[in-house]
Amino acid sequence: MSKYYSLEINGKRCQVEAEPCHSLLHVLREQLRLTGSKIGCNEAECGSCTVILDGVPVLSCLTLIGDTRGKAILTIEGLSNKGESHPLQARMVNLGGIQCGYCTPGIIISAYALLQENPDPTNEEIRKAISGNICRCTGYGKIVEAVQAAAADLREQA
Amino acid sequence: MRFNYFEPSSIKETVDALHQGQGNNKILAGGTDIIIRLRRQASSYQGLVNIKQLPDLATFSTGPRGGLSIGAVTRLRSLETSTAIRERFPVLLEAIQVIGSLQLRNMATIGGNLCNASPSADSAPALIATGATATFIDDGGNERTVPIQRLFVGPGSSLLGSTGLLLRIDVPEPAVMTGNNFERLTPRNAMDIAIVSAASQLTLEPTNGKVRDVSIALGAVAPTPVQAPRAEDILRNREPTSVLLAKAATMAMEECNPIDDIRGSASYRRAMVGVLVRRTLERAFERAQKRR
Repeated sequence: MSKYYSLEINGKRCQVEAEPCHSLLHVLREQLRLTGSKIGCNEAECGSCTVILDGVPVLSCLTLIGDTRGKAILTIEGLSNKGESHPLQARMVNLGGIQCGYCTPGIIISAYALLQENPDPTNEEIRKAISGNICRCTGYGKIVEAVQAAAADLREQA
Repeated sequence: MRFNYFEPSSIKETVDALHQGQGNNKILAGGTDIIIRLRRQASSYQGLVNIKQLPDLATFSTGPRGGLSIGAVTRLRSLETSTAIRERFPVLLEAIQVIGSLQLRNMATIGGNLCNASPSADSAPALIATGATATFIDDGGNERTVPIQRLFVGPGSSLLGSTGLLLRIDVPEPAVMTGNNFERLTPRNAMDIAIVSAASQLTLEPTNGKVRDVSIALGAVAPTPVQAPRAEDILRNREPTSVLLAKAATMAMEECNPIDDIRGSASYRRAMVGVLVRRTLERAFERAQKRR
């Protein structure tokens, strides 16, 4: 039995009609056409569906839409500002942290959550923060460099 | 087939919803196991009872006589980031911080890790070693409290049956001169399932330094998480020399009952029980000496 849900996504209120057991990822991609969050494994192994729910990174593939009521959702689409890339996005591009790109939104969201808590992380802390995000292309080295560079950019902006 | 979905607002409504399904309605807490099983059609449940919103089950607190009282729906990540747990219950921190990924620990609950009754559940040996108890509502609707190891009946099977509800875990405050430690063996550091895990807790007699109390628990080497009572007996009332700790670890190898599977052979698991038990005992002993 489908129901109406009022959600707050990337600072905007929107209403969707969904089954309470539908995943947040399904609603984001299929109903709201926010396809930045990816379907990888769809079972909590790969991290490519990571979004921020009330300030903490979660897996949208296993988050039920019924459990997002009254909570703020941030997806990769919410990071850029008036068309300008977030430093994490810009650095991933210009430092080669992207190859196929499928894991990238999830990695950026995990890194964003880390930098919110810890603006000056060590490489080890970055590796831990993205350890739930699997990248099969880059070998992670350039991703860690990109996150470090973005962290420096953000500290300079602050 | 119609799939039922319940969002009860009290413990009574939850128990009613579970009974209404006659065993076919399953509790949904963090959802990180049950949703995957339903998607793979590995479970035949006909309904979910979402207990995320139940008051009081999602928090933990320090009890009146010390110790910890952990609501069953407490997120693993909130335990992991607690100063009280880091300082006073390091064995719990060590076990919880290796479960899944950070995103998963923001969703998964301590009750879910236990109620799935996996022989390799990381929190189980750690909680057994601390002497924790589980309080739950049983199939007949009565509230019961048991030592946590009694919760586990077999792989995937717990004392809760199909309509029981875990309420909380109580961890006693460690006595003076108590130390504990958890260690697990996995090929990867993150996102992996234990080949073997072990947790030990030692309490020393302040007057003579002998072992007053000891608890050794093992994961992934028997149909349920288990204790090693004969290994514990070797240590009780004796001076914990490195020779004696190694002797207890050897006894634990004999006491466990591992199988061959995709993660490791029975003989490898047994050998690694010896290594992990010795290491956790040594670490627990070091910590016990520092906690006067």
